[in-house]
Amino acid sequence: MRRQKIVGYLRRDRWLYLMVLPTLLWFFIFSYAPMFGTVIAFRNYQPGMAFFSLDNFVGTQNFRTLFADMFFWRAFRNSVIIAVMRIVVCLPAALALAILFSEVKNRVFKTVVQTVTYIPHFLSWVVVAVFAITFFNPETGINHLLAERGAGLITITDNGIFRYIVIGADAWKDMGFNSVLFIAAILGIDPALYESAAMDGAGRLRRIVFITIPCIKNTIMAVLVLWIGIIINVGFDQVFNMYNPAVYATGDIIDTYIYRTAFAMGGDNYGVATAAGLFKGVISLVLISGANLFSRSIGEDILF
Amino acid sequence: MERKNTLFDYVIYAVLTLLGLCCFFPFWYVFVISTSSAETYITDRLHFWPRTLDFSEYHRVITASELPYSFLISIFITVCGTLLALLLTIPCAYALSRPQLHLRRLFSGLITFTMLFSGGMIPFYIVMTKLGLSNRLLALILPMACSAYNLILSKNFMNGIPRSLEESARIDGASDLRIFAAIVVPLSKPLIAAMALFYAVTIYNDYFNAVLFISSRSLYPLQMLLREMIVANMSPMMTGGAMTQKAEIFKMASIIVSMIPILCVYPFLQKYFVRGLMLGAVKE
Repeated sequence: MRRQKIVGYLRRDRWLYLMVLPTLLWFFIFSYAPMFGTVIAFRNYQPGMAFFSLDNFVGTQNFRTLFADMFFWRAFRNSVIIAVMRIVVCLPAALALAILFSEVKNRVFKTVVQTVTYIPHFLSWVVVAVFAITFFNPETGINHLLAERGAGLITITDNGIFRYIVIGADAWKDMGFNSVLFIAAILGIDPALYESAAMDGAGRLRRIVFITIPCIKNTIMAVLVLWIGIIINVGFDQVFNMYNPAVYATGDIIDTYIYRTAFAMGGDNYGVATAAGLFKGVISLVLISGANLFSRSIGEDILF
Repeated sequence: MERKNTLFDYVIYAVLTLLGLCCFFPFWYVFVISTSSAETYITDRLHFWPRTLDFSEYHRVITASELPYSFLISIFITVCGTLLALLLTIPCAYALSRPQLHLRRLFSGLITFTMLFSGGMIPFYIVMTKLGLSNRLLALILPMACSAYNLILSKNFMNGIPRSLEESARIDGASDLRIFAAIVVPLSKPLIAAMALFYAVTIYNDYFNAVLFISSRSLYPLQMLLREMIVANMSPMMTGGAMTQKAEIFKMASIIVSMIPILCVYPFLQKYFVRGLMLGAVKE
């Protein structure tokens, strides 16, 4: 009886299942197979060995190697610092931009400025990195101007400055893009609120502070929490394309550390690199799940 | 709101104009360098204003470098990848949005979980090489051919398509496939446009799969070529000589050329982009 029913549903919805199947297969190959592959964090894996097996099982040895490496902890620290700087700089910048846009009356002006601020989002990180490297070339442009005045130079080989350049490039690229979410939230505010506030004699600035910001508070919270959730995942593209050995001390992050451990430091050290990836993956699983629960609890499930 | 502009408005205009100029300036700076000659590159180190409009390095980029070839590869993978991505995203999103599909919660859950946890770079690299994708253009297409985030976004959009629209077609005996093609796809045009734009930009701009999997120069997509040309030998600070200046101008010309497709297409697609983002932000 039950089997007949199941077969009946399968037959009835056969097209729907066929639509899901290829996509599901894709996720199994490109997301789930690597997930099961993290078992090599517990193996002394050498290229060419079987992937889904327990050959050369070494227990937690890779993790012990990893946690004993001060460069890993340096990368961990840098990841968190860069992500926190991004939250402190880029989030308020996007919010401010959205509020500014919402106060502009002239539509042509608004469209032009929006277009200009959105365009950098569509450039690749390679191109943005080239912009940054060229812009802070020690011999030309801004630095030429600074040198003529005898001021210190802004270069991307300077450990004290590298993080600021990464954050600046991030803000330049995605400020407009990040503002769209806030713009959508502001559009959803009931205009009657502004009108009655205006009747009571509230100025524009007061209306921003006492109407706009409180009304989109939940969206701001949700974005903030999401950004905290991805705190150790951000920055790879920025850093990978801009960093150089001179700024490893402040610029090396977990993902670039993983990349070099596996591919560049002369040793195909897949086991340790995977251990670092798994460590990061577990932390972000906890953080992102928490962020998602939180944003649901305030009725803003913008994540998923 | 037909009131006259107040001081407040002028401050807003001024701040936004300044921000707009900040966004624009790096483009301008790169353009100025790209049109310098080897002499003016030295004599005017500020590069804030074009002293010569010398397009000879552009000529070299287009006629005597690997860039046009890599450009074609990028266009090819972008077109194929975007089509494949739409095929994997739109029908699946539709199916997952239909309440009669019994296993849809399980399927959605499996897909959502990939946003929470990933195996990381190395297991992904090994899976790809075990699949024999090293040094193949498929390595640049397949991993980009779906995205959990876009899929969920599309599913949420499809949730808004009322079931009643399908009922009459179903009574007439139309299959789910027919309903999808004749009713759902036309209703989802704004979604499909936004998704095509998102995927196309992501694939065109991707460099990391090429870093991992492509070692033969004849298969380099554009971003990989740029990366190797510029980021990998990060040496604007190397010693002088006309060769160095020429190389620098050549790089800037390459960058400008690489941005042309996006700069040309973007203004026409902006409304789809904004609408697409709003799909994610605004929920019924």
